[in-house]
Amino acid sequence: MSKRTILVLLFLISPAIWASEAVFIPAGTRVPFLAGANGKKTFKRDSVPVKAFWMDRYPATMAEFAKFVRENPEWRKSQIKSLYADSHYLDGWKDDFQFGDERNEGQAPVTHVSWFAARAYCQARGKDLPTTDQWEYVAYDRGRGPSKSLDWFAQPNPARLPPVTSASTNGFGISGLYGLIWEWTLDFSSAIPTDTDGNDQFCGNGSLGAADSSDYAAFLRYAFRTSLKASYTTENLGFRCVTETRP
Amino acid sequence: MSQGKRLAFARSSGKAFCSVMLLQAFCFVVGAHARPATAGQDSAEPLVGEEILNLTNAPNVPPPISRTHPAKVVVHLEVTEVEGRLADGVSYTFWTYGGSVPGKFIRVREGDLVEFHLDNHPHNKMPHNIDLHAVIGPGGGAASSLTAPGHSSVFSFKAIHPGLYVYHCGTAPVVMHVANGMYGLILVDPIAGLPKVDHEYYVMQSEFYTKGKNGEAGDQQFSMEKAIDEKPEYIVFNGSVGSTIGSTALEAKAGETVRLYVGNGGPNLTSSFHVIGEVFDRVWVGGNTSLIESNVQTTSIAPGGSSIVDFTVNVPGTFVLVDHALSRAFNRGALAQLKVSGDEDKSIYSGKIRDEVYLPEGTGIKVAEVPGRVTPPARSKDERMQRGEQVYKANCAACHQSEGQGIARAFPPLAQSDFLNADKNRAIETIIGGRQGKLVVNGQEFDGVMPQWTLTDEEIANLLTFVYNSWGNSGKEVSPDEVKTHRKK
Repeated sequence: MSKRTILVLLFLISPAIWASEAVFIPAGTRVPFLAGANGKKTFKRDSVPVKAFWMDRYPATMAEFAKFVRENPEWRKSQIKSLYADSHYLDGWKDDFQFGDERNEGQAPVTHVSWFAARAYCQARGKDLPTTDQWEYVAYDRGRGPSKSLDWFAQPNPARLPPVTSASTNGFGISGLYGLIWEWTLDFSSAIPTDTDGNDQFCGNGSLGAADSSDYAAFLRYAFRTSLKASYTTENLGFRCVTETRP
Repeated sequence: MSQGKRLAFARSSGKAFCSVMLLQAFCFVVGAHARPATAGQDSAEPLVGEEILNLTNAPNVPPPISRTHPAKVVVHLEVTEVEGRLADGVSYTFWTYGGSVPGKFIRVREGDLVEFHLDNHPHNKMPHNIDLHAVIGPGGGAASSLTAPGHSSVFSFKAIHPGLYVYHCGTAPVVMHVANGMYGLILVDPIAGLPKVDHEYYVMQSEFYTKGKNGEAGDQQFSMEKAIDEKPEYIVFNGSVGSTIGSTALEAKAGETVRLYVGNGGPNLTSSFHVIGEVFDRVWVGGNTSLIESNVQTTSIAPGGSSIVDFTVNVPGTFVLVDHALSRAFNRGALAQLKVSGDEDKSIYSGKIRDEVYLPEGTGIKVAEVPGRVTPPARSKDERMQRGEQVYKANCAACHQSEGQGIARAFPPLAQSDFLNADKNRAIETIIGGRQGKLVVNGQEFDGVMPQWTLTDEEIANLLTFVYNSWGNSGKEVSPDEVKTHRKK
């Protein structure tokens, strides 16, 4: 085998290539976790169809996001408008392009990104953020996945996030939905429905309308999404992209 | 009723306004005669000044409020998710209000306007909110305080009702947030204040639902199944097994008064709170400052509820706080200590005066031969000796030892025993009726107790014949008839 072939092979199997790889997700149905999650209040729990789509195998990495802000100056840390991101945007980055995690060569997932920035990143690639239905459909993994595991939720954030390639892969071939970071969804803000008076569902009330009141992991995800506004950034919140047309 | 509500009523209907005024007048009359400091009466009193509150970690309580007027008070409470000690060798990731479990103690005065800042630390993984039971409003504040990591929510409320209230996280799944430690107490001091005491302490009961069984070492994780089944592995005071034991016990001096602000974070079990060796002089039931019970042994504290208990520590010693559902105290950790120093007061508690063996039938009473038990008569002295040795080994050797040598200062010797050899009848009576008190054997003094022995006449005859013919003793022989004559005495 020539040196050149080896180099080409190395290049092909490098995580940076994998990270942008999209995986085909066949069509299916899913039962929404919370009734009326999309604004309608119902006591009938119908499964909803999910069309086929392609989902990024890994969440977006630091290196990929650094490339994105090079090409799109308005999303750089120094230039972001406060309307589009809170003051924690890209916390830990030394400047606009140095993400401060050179040890992992930028292969850790990018976090401290707002919904606006995440969406702009996906759109720049002709994609979009997944809907909550799409994200949860893949996460439930047709009942195969560890979707109810609370292990990750029960531990504090690590000092440094590991590379995206270190995360486990589910039955769809998607990596890192569990045990790595939270991820933005397109319609995060409608995650937990409000009752007719416009009140949040909290305390014991929170289990009203849930498909499975013992699925604490789902409650944690929905509650987390509900706590967000589109400009918010947090230490362990990143994203990945999807598309309904072949990439 | 608040000023705001009154005005709203007044605007909407003149009739309603009148009935409200009537209610107010009625309240005033009741208040003037029965309770000078009823809730809400001074809500129209103007706020004077603004201060940032100092909050305390358990078991400490902020000092009583000396202000004589309501004020605007600012509370900053920071949520952190931290790994800590649940028991020796057992760690757990707690979700906390202020860095430890239970959450920081908040003390305000009736009528205060509280500006509440809930700060969710940027390193946290979870969104959190807060439901304070002292708050009148949707979710007790939870509706206004859902906060993402790295953010802070601000809302304000008026402290209308005096009393001791639980606060807790109300974010879904609420059971997990509470089971991980998200609760604490807020005290709204009544206008008139609470009676002065020498010590105030903060104690809160917790349940922890770990995947591993109680005591299983290592980092333990939350078990959703056990939480839903309401079967905690740990039930503790102030956040961990042994949090308030030994060098970290609560302290007081004999003669002082102690007040405990006791909360139950739950999430599921009612506490039967008791202090071993004390009677509560006063209990503000449910933390309600106008419902006082006296002379209480055990007070029930609901999950999401509280109690204020006062007692006087009259005598020194260690007093143990327990959940008197005792498996929780004995097996799951629901124990804390109050150490009281100072001088004894023998008129209140003597301490142990003596220890005596309890002889149900009395040392002087001799029982008839055991009914239904027949020992075949020995046909020779040798047979008597052999059988006597067996009786000795089964009944006597444990104390008097295998060679009859006894144990110095505890059990008199039977070998070459002057006491034994001096009086055969005394030996028979000792076995039948027991013996207590001072005696001298071979020059050594003993002051013990030998219980009466339930043996047949034949067995006693065999035993004593064996003893008298062993270890250099006098060689006497004892017959069953001799034993029988002592039974009748």
